[in-house]
Amino acid sequence: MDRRRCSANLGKLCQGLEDYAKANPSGIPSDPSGCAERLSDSLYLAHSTSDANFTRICASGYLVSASRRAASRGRALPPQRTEVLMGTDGSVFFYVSPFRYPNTGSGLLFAGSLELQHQNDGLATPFDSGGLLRIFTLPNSAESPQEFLARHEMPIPEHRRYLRMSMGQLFHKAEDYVEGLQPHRPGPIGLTGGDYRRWTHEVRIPDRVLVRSTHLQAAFAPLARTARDPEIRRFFGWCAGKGVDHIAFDTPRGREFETLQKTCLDYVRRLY
Amino acid sequence: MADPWKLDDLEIVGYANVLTETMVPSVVPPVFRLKADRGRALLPPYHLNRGFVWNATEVPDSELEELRDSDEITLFDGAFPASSDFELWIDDAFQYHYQPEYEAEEELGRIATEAIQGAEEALRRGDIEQAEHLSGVAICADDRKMEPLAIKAAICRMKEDWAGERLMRELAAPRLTEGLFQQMVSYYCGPSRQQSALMRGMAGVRPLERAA
Repeated sequence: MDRRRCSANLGKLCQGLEDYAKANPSGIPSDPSGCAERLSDSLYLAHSTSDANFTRICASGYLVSASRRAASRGRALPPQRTEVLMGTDGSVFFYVSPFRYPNTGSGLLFAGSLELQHQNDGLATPFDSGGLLRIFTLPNSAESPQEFLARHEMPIPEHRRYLRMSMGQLFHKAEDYVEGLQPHRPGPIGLTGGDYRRWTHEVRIPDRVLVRSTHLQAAFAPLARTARDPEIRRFFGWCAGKGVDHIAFDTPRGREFETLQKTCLDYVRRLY
Repeated sequence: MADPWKLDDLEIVGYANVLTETMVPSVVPPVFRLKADRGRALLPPYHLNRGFVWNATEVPDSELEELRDSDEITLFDGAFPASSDFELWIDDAFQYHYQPEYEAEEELGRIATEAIQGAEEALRRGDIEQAEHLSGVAICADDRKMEPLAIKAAICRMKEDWAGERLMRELAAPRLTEGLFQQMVSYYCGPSRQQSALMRGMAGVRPLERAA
């Protein structure tokens, strides 16, 4: 990671947002309660995954990149895969928000301190990088998704400055970012289409991330999986012993993702 | 809000999960494909209501294989028509079933009940492994039932796995007081007639309200 390039990006993005706010006054005071500052500092890093992957994560003790996982199975990633095309296949992904990756059933929240540990090799973007390929529409069709991504990569944890500014300038209330409500102003980045992942900060950390660490804040899994799967049981037992929050939830009629999201949002709401 | 898709116009090509043997039986969200344009697929999260699919994510059919290779979805060998008020679920032999919701609920309830009975018999025989397996089947079929958690807690107690027993107690806590759960566990550890009567009295126990 080129930290200097990322820092320069951060400066430009923050300036761009200030200019945008001046040129497009909303009439709404920016973060009068100071909630944007508190939330942008304290929001957790969220990684959610399928139940089968979660079992593997509990067993191995690591979140791993797509390329490492493929290598461990003795095969290469398909060249058309989104992460390969975007050059992000060596990264572990997090959202700085509640769980937002669809079709996932279990997940982990990490404290922001994980970013400090990876300030020299991790980075952040103010959107989901994978969405650039097929989900969002870029403002300039002449620019490739990869170039667009490179222009928006910011250092961690400093990207939270941009997060604080966008929470204050673009959303009615800073909490709306967490709740997944659309910003009332689109902002200067210019992406359209897709869902809340268009404006959710993504953090990428290379290769792998240790799960059983002091950064782990909370673990979420469906009750039936927790009760039955010995790896998840052992992991939840470890969480209990270390005082890490571990939450098992009922999943009425297979609606795991919706329940995971709601349970996580209820948990994150404790921050405000 | 985007226009919804009519279920009659869709077929099911798979489901949005990858299950292992410790996850079945399980209700799963279908992955749909348009009958009239097989190059277009619909993924959850979505809402099903009155024969329509709302807020689904549309992806090209080619992306389904990528999602399968990423262990995010499972694809069937073929496809079959979607129907209103039907449920898709996978049994413990990984066979899929697509049937009216009430039938699926009945079937899963029956599986849960039989698995609990089987687990209880296995416990009486001292076949801990089978009791563990069947209580797992029961909780996957119906995660509202408390007996499987109590059986698992009893097995943990027999194995002196105190952390495991504590976890089962935690999992049961939103629905059952600690005292009642402990009585169930004690029953499964060493049943007596009195305890049998107690268990029969608890059969209709209602969920407790979650603490605020």
